[in-house]
Amino acid sequence: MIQAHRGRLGKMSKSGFSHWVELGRVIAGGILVVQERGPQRFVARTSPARQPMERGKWLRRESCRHRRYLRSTRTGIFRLACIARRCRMCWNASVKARSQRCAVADRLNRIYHLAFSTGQLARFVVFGSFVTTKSSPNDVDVILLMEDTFDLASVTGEPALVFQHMEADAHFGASVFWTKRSGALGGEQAMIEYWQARREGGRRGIVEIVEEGS
Amino acid sequence: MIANDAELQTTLERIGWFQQQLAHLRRTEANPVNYRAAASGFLAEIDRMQLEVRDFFCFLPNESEGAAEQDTGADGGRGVGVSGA
Repeated sequence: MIQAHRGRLGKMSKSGFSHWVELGRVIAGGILVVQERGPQRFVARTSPARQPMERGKWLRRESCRHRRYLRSTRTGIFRLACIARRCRMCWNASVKARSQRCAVADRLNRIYHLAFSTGQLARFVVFGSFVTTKSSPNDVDVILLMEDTFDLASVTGEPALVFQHMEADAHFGASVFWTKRSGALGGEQAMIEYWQARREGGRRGIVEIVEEGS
Repeated sequence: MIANDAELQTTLERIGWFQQQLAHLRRTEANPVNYRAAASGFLAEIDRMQLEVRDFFCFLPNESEGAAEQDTGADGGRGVGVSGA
């Protein structure tokens, strides 16, 4: 799970996160669900024969298969995780762009920690420029769905800032949209899928982070 | 920045969806602290999109094209909502 320890997501920005970007571009209209299983391995859940893959092997062996699968499917939820020691995109990016992406990944890591620390986090979805091919995204865009028992008044300190849109923007450089599960228009799945809509028409890929074993 | 009528239509639909989301939130959320905090994000997004709509309506189509050319590169937004990511 991503909250394993601080700093992990920052490291992932050089590998896993940016690889989401590549896959996000490929799947276009799909929701990419990323599951982190441990420091060095991930599991690809869309795979018919899903086996945990050791670091490095996944990219070469699984990604092609998944890309074919995702390209043919186009929409839906993809429980997918991946890791690459070196992401082509990050590798090719300038040092400045790379550090920008890492910095934004750190913000995302922090937000995830804080939201998770409430014990009421139901779904955590990332969208916007961070999960596109943009080399240096400006900020993080997040949708949080909280359990129906969530009470913001009981949350104190830094985690409370995550749930105030303006404060989150100023404090974390993130645009956070949230509601409780019951407050999601059309149901939580429909609400999340709606965020895939693009102004130019069509749909874009977004990324959901899920916990280990879910 | 809204570039054409199709994007305008999508943006208006998106504003409507956000308003419906807020109306749904008002019905389902009894906790005022939760409501205000949750609504703040959707309200900010509605404001942002309405400003885009307003900007779009400020000019005739041929003027908009000229303004868009001058404004190239200025739209480095995050693509939240209906904007292209």
